Amino acid sequence: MMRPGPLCSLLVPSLLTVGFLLGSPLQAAEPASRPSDKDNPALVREANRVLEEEIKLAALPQIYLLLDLSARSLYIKGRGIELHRLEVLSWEASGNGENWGGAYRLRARPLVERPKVQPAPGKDQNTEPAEPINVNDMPAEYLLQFDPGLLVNVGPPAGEHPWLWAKNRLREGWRRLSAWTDRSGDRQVPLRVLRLTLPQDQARSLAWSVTDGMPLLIGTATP
Amino acid sequence: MAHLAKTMAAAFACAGSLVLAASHGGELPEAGNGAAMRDQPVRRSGDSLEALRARQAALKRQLAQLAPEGHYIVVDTARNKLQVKRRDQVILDAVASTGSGTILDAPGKPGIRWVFDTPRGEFKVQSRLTNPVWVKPDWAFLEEGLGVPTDPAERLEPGTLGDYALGFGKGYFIHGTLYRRLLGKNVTHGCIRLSDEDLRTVYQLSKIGTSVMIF
Repeated sequence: MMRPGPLCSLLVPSLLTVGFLLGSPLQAAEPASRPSDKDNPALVREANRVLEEEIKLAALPQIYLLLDLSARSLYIKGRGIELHRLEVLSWEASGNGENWGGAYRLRARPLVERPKVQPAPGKDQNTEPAEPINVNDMPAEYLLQFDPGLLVNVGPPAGEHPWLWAKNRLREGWRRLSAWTDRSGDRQVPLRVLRLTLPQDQARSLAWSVTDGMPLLIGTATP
Repeated sequence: MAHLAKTMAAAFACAGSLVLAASHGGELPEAGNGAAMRDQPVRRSGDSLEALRARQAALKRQLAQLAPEGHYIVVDTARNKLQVKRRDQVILDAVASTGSGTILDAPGKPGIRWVFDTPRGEFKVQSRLTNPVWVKPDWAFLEEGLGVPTDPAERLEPGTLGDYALGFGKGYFIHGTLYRRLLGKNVTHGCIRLSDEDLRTVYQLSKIGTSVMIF
């Protein structure tokens, strides 16, 4: 009788894992319509919680993010002022998609390859650099790791760049697996995952604008 | 000599902050004075819908009070735009140039590196200069393949920064440019460049302490 070779015994579980990771939906997705928050005490209470948290962030000289999932908008803000708004096409989250708690802090912004300036005679400050980077050089598919315990998977619609989408989903799966392994040793809080689909240019714009340590608040923005 | 000293006092270094073995980003620490909230914390009340709404109104007022009073400057480094705003009103919408994001390694000095980013965060206008003279920092010489001069007078370069300059900390300035064709692009060493006309308006609308929010 033929016995499976070592390659086969590795390949089959790997393919199953890949299939699981690529296809695994998160538990909560956006509701079909936004509920009215005027007469719902729970929603007003939630909006107040977000306002309380935002007041803490806006009191400091910093730029922060406010993600309003129900409005499908991601705001870049400072001192309570909306500086820029990004459109969220869709989202899904692990858990119930609610109770996001306080502010999160971004560990590190997405990496970008920075060209090196080659010293040469005749260059001055008004000479255009040979290869400056701009927003179009930023990745459109990336993971943002926030503390405590939040992984945000940002990318354009899957149909636009299926290969990059699959790659990013694999990275997300690996991070989740790593976090799960760490959690078994009680070293971390549980990792929540939030997938955001943004138009490609806006995904790049977000990657450009975030900075190390930038705070993120998730909840209903109050106009 | 006295003239030179006076000139030096009026001069400044543009985007001259040295970043030692910096990783990507090169952001400055948070700037500003870390002002505390200008209002007292809102007192908690009951959980009825009416009470919740009242609390929401109070929280909104408290948040609104944290916004800058008077004019403030917003710089969008992704789209190379600078706006002067007052509350929600846009007073000036200008095309700017911001940091190129490139890096320069100091020749022969491992570990010394400059990252030419415009810093992100909230800053305050710390100086307002007319007819500024650029004091060329080390990187400006190294980039040109030159040695760093020992005589400070050799660093002075008048006329390249326009008629005005607004310093917002760590050697970073909003200033003019000789080459308007580069406006709208990420080309600078971290400073924010404007056309002469827009620079004049920003200078006139700003004062020491004006908020500069850069993202």
